[in-house]
Amino acid sequence: MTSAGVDLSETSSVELTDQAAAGLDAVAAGGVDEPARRRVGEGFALLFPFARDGWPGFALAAALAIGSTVAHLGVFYIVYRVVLVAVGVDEATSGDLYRLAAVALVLVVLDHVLLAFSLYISHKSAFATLARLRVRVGERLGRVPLGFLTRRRSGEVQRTLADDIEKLELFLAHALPDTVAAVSVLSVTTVWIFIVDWRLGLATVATVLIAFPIMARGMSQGSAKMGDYTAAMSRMNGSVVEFIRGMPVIRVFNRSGATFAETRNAIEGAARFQSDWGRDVLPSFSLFYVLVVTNVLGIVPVGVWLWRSGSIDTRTLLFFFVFGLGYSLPVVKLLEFMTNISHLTFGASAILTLSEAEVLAEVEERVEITSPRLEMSGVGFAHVGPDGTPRRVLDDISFTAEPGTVTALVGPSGSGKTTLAKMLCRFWDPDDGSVRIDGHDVRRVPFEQLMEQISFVFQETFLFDDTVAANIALGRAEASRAEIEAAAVAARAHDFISELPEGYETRLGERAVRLSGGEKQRITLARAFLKGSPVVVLDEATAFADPENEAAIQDGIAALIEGRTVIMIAHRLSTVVGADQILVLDAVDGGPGRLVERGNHEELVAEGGLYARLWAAFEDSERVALGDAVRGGHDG
Amino acid sequence: MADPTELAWRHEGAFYAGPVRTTWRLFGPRRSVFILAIAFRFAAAIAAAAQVVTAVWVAEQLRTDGLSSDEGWAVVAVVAGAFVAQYLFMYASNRFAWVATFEVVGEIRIRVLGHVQRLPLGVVDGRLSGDLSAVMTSDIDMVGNFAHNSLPVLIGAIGLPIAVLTALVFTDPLLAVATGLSILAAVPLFRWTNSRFKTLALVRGDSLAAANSRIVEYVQGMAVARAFGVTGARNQLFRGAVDDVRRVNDLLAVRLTPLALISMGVVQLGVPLVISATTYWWFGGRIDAGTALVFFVLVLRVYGPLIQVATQVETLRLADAALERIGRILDLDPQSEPATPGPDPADGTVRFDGVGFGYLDGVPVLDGIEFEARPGTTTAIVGPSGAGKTTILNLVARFWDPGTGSVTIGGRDLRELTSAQLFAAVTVVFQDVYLFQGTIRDNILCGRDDATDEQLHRAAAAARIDEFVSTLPLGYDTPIGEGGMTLSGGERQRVSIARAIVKDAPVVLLDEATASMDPINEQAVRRGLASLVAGRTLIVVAHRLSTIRSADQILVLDRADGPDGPARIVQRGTHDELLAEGGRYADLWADRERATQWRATRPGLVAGR
Repeated sequence: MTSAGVDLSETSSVELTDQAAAGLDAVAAGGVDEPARRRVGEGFALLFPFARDGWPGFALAAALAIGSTVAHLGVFYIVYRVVLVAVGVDEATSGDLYRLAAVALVLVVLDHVLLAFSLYISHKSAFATLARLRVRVGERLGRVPLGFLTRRRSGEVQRTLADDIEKLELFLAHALPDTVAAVSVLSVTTVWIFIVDWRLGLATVATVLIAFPIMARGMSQGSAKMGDYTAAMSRMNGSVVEFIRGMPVIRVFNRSGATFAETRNAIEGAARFQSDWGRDVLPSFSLFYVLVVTNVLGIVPVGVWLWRSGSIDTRTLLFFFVFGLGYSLPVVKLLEFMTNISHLTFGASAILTLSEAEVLAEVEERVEITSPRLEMSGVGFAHVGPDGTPRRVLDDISFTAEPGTVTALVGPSGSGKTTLAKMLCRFWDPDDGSVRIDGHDVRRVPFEQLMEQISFVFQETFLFDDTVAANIALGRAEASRAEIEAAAVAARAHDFISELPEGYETRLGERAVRLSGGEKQRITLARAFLKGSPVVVLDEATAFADPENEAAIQDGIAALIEGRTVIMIAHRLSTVVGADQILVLDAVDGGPGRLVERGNHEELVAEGGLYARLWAAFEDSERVALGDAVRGGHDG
Repeated sequence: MADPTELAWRHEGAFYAGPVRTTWRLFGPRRSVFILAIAFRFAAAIAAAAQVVTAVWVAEQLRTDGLSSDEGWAVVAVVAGAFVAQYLFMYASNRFAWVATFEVVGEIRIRVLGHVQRLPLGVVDGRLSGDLSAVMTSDIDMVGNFAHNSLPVLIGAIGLPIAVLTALVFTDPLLAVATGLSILAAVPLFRWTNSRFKTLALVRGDSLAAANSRIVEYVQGMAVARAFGVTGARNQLFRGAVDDVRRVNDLLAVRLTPLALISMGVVQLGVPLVISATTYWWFGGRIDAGTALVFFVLVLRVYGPLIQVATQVETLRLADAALERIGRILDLDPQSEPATPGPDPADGTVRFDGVGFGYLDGVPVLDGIEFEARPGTTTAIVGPSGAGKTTILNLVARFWDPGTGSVTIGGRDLRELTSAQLFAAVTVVFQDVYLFQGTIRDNILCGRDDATDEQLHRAAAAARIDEFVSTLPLGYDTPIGEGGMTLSGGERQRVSIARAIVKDAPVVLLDEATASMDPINEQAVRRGLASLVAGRTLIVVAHRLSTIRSADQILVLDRADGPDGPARIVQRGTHDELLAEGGRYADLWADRERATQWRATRPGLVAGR
């Protein structure tokens, strides 16, 4: 929130080194492989559209910033006028000088008041824009294929929605008005100094013009090693994170020494690289930043020469001494923006990726669903990896789940069971074939209507940071307390909820009450009860339950599935023994998952295929008694 | 809920002492280089000032007797020379600051890491581990950025005006006082606004963090939000969080904008003041036109750099926060360890004598835990969730030290063992399997570098990984990605079992609450575990009926004094004894048994069959 505004009062180059160093950091962080000018242009083109929403505010802020800068220049002009008097070029009474001082006072106040309004308006507009942007991106995320949000990427998405969008504030509230003001002031002063005297004008801009090719050269020098630099830094970060994550294992297996030495090497390597890299680029960077502000280098010799040859009068020379020396300060503002741009554009492109992500097509018109028969025919699907390569995970899946029956999906890990189940809710759409509910392709059913039909109980429970009641009423905000409690009773959750400090009004979530895995799952079951959809999909609903709660969850599930169409995924095969049909999926040699067997438990065991092997393994692992194993080893 | 890892292990900050002093401390032996960097920056500033002074001199010449040709050349020479000097000084300053900083940054990373290594594992493994990564990477970078960039700028920005003001004092003390007046007025204002800033930024930080975590939650819970048809604006939590962020920011913008500008504005008010005062004394005849000229030209050079201080405040604050977080870690007490190893544990007998433990003072988790686990026996720990079952395992592995009583292995108190001795005796089978980058062979042999190929193959066979390894093109030399990502959960678990078998420690600690696996993996893991535990002292947080039933002793933990009290051992004995006894264990057992036999069926349909 700090901003010095556009600041023309400083001509020494001392303060510029921070930009110089920040520039180095920006280069180091951003991975520069092209001249800075191009980056800035592209960055601006990328960032500018974000300001379109709410532009009147930003335009007003920029106008006020220009006004503030003009007032600031005015102070310079006053100083120029009094200098003329002091040198004796102009005649003035003390009254005239006091009047000039009064004007300076007004200008200083005006400068800061205008800047305050500019900042205030730019911030207000920026925050409004960010809020709208967040809602828009949030909406979008609700309609993209869920694969977009797989675990690996959800961290990125979270960062974008929370941090990257927040960072746009820097651009919208600061960089945008500052840059507009700097550019307009720079244009005006450039024209002005050239009108006053084109030769001295040229001398003023000369150092700035010389500086840029030097910087470009320095950057290309630096970028030659940039790849190595990035590699050294990421090797270090990776090594450090691994060291910390693996600390318990490292110590238990006595690897502290070796691992520490590796990490130490990585850290020292990165530090050495940073020093070396600085050594390479610092000469040209330092020169650049010294040159940009040292207009005096051109002005004094050319000015003295012109003055002595009689081409300019004292007034003109003094004009350049006061104004020319402050000429570069807007350039400094622009540089500041330039150094930040790699950070900003990085976030901006992440935001664009989200806000323009492809969404699942939706229809509006409701269809008539009388009986929740689920059908898949010839369904095939490929996940697209983070690197963009598709990987086929399901192939040629066809089955029908009759209303009121239990269908179990079993198979080894990675055979695509969860993907298949999630396609029923259109978390993904199939690439081939179709998913139908009561004969309607789910793509032709409005999402809302589909969700009325299907409840999904996930393996990993997810409770929002809100009250117990609100969490249960997630799908039906209008539900009465009595309905919520009835659902909790049915899900076997009422008893423990009543014992919570504030009962149904107890806040859940990270910073609130900690529930055990099983208790959480019972709340999610209550959600499904309240929603009351005719189809229930259970994805290993007891996987993260603590043993003490498992029986209660199972009672809840038993109540939930009664009379509904059930699709369930289970690794503990004993739970699916009673299913009407068991679908066995298998992905042979990392290929896509296929339906390899189907039938009820007895039929499949008798068949002697994959299911029979799974069942045998299941029974065997149930038999392994560790206590006996301990004693067995001791005896033998 | 308070974070136990932070409170229990934090004592009054020894490391952190304000941003400048802490940075100074960090630089240690490299301080001289750093001082040199700052000195060169001053020199560069003076060279820059020399050019401006030359311009002032030229103006003064114009006023009095004009400029001769020789004088003109001298002016050009001085300006050019000063420019070259400025560049050289600036380059030297940048280079010294840069090099010193990045050496220090490397050292502080190594120092923090070295310290972390000596902390109790419980501290590192808890919530600290996320913070720690942030401290090790971005926070230390932030400090580096501050040290090589902002600190010299700050010192330069304060130093240059002081130098110019000193020169002005010699020109005319009274006018110099007038020039300094606005600065003096701004200093308390600046300090006040700064402390306001800090408070408001904290408020903003907290509110934003809360709102942001709800936004993040929206993404994490997207599947659920979708399944219940509450996405985007329809999700009141998300909507509310977004509005909160906006409201907090708006409020702060109103309060902070004037604060950000007021002290700068006050400094600038010195311009009209100096013009007026100079006019007054000049026309009053106390000073001449030359002195007036000097003040007119230099007044802006005094105020300019000071305004830069304001622009650096943000970086200063960020670095300050980063240093505080670094200090928070360095100030954690390391776990004590004997300098020289004493005798090794006599055998694998684990004993708890009157052990009490709590993460926070006054909030005991365990109390009066007494038991002995002998080699070749199984001790199963059961009890409701949150009763501290895993804490018992953590105490044996010395993730924490007990608050009262003692934990011994083979007659030796854990605190008398070096960590090498301790972990030669104890193996932990972690729920969250962590594999190193490297090959499968590296991972299996990591406990013992002297292991033979035969041992490797035997362990692999016992852990049931020989089969799947033989299908890999490179066999045991197949590299596994970061954290072993390319293997399935079950396969990783089996590699970790093989690793434990090779390590061959007499005590095995196991938590049976494993994530779900398909039956074939599950069977392999169970068989592997059976090989691992043979003949050892097994202490297990037991979830499986077979484990509980076959245990030599079962410890039933429960919070006997109510939900907030510590857990104690409420019952102990074998399965048959405890069943006969009734009580807590019998209830737990009945529930477990019912859960295991549960199956999903439509009652109507089954009845009809």
